[in-house]
Amino acid sequence: MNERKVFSLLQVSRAVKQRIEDAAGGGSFWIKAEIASIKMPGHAYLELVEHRNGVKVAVMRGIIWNSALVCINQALGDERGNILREGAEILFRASLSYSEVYGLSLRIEEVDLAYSLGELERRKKETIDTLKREGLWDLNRFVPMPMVLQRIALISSMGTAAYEDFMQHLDENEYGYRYHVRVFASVVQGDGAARELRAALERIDPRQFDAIVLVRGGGSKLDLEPFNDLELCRMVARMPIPVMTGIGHDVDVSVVDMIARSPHKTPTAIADFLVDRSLFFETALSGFLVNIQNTVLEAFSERKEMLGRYIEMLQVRPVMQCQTRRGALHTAVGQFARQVTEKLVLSNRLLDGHVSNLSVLPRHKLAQIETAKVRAQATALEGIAQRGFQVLLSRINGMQDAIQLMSPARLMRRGFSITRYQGVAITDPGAMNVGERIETTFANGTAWSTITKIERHGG
Amino acid sequence: MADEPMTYERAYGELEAIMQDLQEDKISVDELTAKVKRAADLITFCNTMLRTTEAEVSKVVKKLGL
Repeated sequence: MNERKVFSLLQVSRAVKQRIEDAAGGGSFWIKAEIASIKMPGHAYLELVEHRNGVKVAVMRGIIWNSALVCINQALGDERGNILREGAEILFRASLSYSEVYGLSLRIEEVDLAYSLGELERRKKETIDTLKREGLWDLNRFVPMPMVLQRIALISSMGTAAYEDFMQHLDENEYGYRYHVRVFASVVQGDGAARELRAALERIDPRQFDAIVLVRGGGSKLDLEPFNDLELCRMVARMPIPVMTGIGHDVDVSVVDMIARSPHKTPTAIADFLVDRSLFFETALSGFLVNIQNTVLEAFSERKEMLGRYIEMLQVRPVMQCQTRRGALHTAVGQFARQVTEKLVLSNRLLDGHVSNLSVLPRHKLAQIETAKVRAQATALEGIAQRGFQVLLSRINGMQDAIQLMSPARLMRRGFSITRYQGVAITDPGAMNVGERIETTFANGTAWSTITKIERHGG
Repeated sequence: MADEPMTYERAYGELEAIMQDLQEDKISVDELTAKVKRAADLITFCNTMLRTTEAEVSKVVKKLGL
């Protein structure tokens, strides 16, 4: 039977320690974990956990030796209280350490500040997105702001610098305005602040106040955490009166600041705002007073002036009317005369146009027409002439017959004779005297005789 | 004078209305005195209230009769 080899506990522990330290090689790692619990001061002892879907999947102890803690606190500055706290997720550099007495632990040497701030930003963005999705983002931002904010519900931590600053600024305003401030006390930073702030808001009856003022003194970036609380933001958004914030941070803005009706940098700035608003209101009132006085005075002087104008008008108007009418008549006559003249000139112009149109009608056209006319006439005349000639010829022929019938020889054969005196045929015996000789020709001879008696027939 | 308590907003609104009526010549000479007095009362009310502590408010309101 083999002899059993028995190890002491220390031997085993040392062996494990040796193995682990060999494996780690003295190096350190960056590790991400949530702080389940932390115990200070002196050295800091932490319980580190990892959750997945709400189930704890890993647990390990962590330790920050006092010497490292001093350096870490320095590096984290004002934010250390918010980073090294229960529930925070941190990124840290640590080495594996094994103690024969305490077992395995992570020796933390450095904590990443940027990671913690990044986590804050991520949660803040989530809150903002949720508020927007729920339609709460603009609710308080567009609540009407009363002209004077006199009844103030103040949420603050009593006795802090923020509270004192605010109250002092309001009380000591140079215009003597009074504000009716009721305090709803609440812790404003650290664990439980969000819960207390919500409780304070719940106690406020908005019908009794003009505004809610939420103030806090300066603080670190992570101190703003309570003001990013989703439930608190929901309550602020739903407030039917303006919420004014003076949370006192120069660089960063909390979600409550973003959804409040009137965000300010400091409590003092809110007090100044309230006083300025009262002053503005009072100035507007004075403006009314001056305006009303001026308007009344003006109204009187205007009415007086108007009365004067009426009187003047009553005296002058009839004369003016006659003048106006006369003028109108004159104008009308002038217009009429001008229109007639214009019409005449226009007609003359038209006439001239016609004349000149006529004169420039192409001459050869006229000639053609004339020639054609002449030709036609000539042809007509030719016909007429021919016909006329024949008529004439027949007439001449007829006349020849008549002439032949009437020839003296033929007439004398019928018994007629011609009497001549001094060689000329006589038709009037008046030219002759008794006793003179006359010659009478007959068909077959001539006889001479002496006038014995002259008797003239009437006519 | 009115059933509802006088507020800064109501006073301001009334002053505005008086002012507008005045500027538009809607107020006869006879009404003028009454309107101007009303305006002066409203302004006095506001100016007093701005400087009144919470405890004194009801007393002041009663005194001013608004």
